[in-house]
Amino acid sequence: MDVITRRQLKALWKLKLRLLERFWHQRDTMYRWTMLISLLFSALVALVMGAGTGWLVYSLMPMGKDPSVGPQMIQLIWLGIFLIISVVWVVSPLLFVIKNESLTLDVSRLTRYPIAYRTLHGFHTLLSLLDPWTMFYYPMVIAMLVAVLAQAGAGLFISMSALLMLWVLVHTAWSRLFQDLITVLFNSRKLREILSLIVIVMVILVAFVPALITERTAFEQLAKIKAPNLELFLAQWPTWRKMRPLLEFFLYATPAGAFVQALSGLVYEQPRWWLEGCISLFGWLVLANISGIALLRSLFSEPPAIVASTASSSPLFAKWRLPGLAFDLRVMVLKELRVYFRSLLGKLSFFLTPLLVVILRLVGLGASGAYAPASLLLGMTVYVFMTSLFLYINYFGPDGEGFKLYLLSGMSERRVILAKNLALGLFAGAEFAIVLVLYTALYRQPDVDTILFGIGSFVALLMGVLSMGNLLSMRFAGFMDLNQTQYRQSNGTPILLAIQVLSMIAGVLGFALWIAHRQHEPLWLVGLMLAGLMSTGWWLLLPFSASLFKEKRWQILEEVTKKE
Amino acid sequence: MAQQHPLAPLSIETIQLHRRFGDFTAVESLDLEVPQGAFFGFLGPNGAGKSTTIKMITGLLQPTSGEIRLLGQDIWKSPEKVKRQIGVVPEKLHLFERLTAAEYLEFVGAMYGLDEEMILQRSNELLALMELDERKERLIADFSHGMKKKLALAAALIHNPRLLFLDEPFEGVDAVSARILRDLLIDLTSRKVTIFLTSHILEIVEKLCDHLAIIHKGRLIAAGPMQSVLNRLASEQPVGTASLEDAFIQIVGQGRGTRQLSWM
Ligand SMILES: Nc1ncnc2c1ncn2[C@@H]1O[C@H](COP(=O)(O)OP(=O)(O)O)[C@@H](O)[C@H]1O
Ligand SMILES: [Mg+2]
Repeated sequence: MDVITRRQLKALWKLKLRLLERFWHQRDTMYRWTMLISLLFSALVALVMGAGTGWLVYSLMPMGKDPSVGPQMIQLIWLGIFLIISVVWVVSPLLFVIKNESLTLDVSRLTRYPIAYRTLHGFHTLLSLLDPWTMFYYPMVIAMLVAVLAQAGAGLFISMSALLMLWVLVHTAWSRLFQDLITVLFNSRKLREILSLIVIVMVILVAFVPALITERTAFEQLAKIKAPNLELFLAQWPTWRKMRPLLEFFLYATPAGAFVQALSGLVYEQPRWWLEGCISLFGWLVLANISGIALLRSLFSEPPAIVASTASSSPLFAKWRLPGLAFDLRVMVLKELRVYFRSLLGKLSFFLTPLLVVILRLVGLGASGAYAPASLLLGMTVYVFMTSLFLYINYFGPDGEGFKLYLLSGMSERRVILAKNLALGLFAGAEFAIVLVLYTALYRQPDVDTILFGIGSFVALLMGVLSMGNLLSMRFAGFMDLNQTQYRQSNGTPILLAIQVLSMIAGVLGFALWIAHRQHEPLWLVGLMLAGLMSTGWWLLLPFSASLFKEKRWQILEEVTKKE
Repeated sequence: MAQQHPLAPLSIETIQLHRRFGDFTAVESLDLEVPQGAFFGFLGPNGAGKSTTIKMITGLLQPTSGEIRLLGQDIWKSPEKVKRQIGVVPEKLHLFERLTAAEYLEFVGAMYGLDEEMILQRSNELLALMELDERKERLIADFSHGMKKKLALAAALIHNPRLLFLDEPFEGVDAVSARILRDLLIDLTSRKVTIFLTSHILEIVEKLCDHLAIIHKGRLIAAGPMQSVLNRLASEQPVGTASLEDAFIQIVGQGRGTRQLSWM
């Protein structure tokens, strides 16, 4: 390595450390502790998983020596395990894909310097060895090493370590490649939005799993599934034998396969298998490296096309009219609606609940009749707000510099708040209407009583959430988005508060519903009462919000125009 | 190239440079020749293709076709070697905001392969010259736009480049700093550094540069030594519109005419 490359690598390393240190120091104690605890927890999970994997490797080893089972059977099981680990390992950085220069070195800032793509890529890849998600796999690797040495003898230490090292490097390199690929994809706004949508839907679906399990039918279905057991599996071996070509394909055509090949070579004393496996793993490493460098080069010299971004402002929203509103209100409401629907977060929050209703129906939730129709509808309505909560507590963040217009135009504070409320009301109302239609189409024809209760509870929720937003948006004005790691990011307090308030309102509604059911009261009356109550509360709070806005407007201006 | 002057070797030379974004052609058949030691002004209205051109020349954006030679070498064939001899202040500064100015210069110096001692000495000098030394310990994130520009320029100078590229260097810089910048740039040209500067303001280019090229909608309209281009501009002008600004606007604003607001 020449002097210049060495100096460059040193500088990059120093830069990375400095940025990480700054990142850490800028956080408050609370943030640091939560981060530490979550890191420790993840490491613990990895340790347990690692021990489990090690144990599986360990306990299956002698079986392969049994002629009635044969190494191939064991290879198959190992292949299954390591394929999963392999995929999770490569894909796991997706959870961490955050645009933050402190955490990842943004290559676009380095393009102007005389640094070879090779050097940069090598450095980048090596840094990944220290990334949290990579480190989680080390306990697993160590557990495997211990397991194999315990079973097959310490004489294998060097060859096993070499194999494991290759295994780690291959995944680091592929996960790096995967991340760069994601970066390329993320450069396209459309793809980025779709990907984020998928991730969030997955997260929320996972959150629904408990509800799914508590469903009566789900219980029954679960009981029907027998725990997978190895004996049963072994008994079916002849059928598996037919899949041998497939097995061999995976053994030769995936890194996990190469690893299993080499591992069984060690365990079953077949040096040739070990060598084949290692060579193949090395091949995977080289492949990742070559494609990684090529990808980096294209990242460097081909910026994302900004073409068609103008065309994507859909004519649908451009043509909206809102008859019957005062001109200034109408203009502002339209502007807000356009902003929501043209932003990733707005679109996400609008379509998430309808999408979930459809998906959950497909999964079978709520179909069994375990839930009363009204409570199911209420749950969906709460979700309409849950998925878009941050819109209600962050009125001015997205306005940015545009906020100045409110101050310059001489529009009254009350009118600004009204316009924001109206826009949010229309936004939520449209979403609720879609949910209602989906509910009718997918679940059952609700009776008039249920529908009226649904509408009443929607209005009650909306008014409650708006009242809360009218206060929180003034108090915590800084821009929020899903990326909570950004420099000077406001903390999570407002969103936590909002979730609590929303839960409280939902709890009151649920309680009222329960009482109405018990007393056989008409549901619509309950809905109407709650809606009336909440609307009155909102109306009474409005002047207070307006004066709060007036008092805080300069502070808000400062917050929303603060540069990153 | 055929018509290369033996007396004035070329610092920058582009041959039939093209860049397309999808269907849109941002830069078309661009032939530029910048002699060594020239103070070259690249003038054009917003969206003319100046930044696209400068990015291609400095190896930050792949040309669709065409050739680029810097100091006789193709930057796209040996990027590291050529990049060591040029300094760039791009349109988007892209500094590492969580470093201090001194730390940033240290990083940049090392990227160009300088040793520590030299970096420290030059960085101190540069910070003093740009009047950033009082703010040495502050994070770049807290700098104003003009200060960031000055820092980016300091970073582009630390490795003693033979060629300096500046994309709109005077945008967002106050009058005092602009004066410092100007004096510095003029001083650099006297030391045989070639400067390539883009701007959309004729006045800046006219005052500073000795060579001028005008680009409009991705096409080169005029190029050459300042006086000859200006003379050409003046000669193509209808009598009466003497000012050069008028001439420039006339050329780039062809067919647009003057427009008026109906209500004012
Ligand atoms: N990545 C890109 N994708 C699509 N069009 C681009 C891209 N970069 C620049 N353009 C277009 O190329 C034209 C020239 O841009 P630019 O070189 O930045 O102009 P300027 O002369 O103002 O610096 C503009 O019309 C711009 O929209
Ligand atoms: Mg530009």
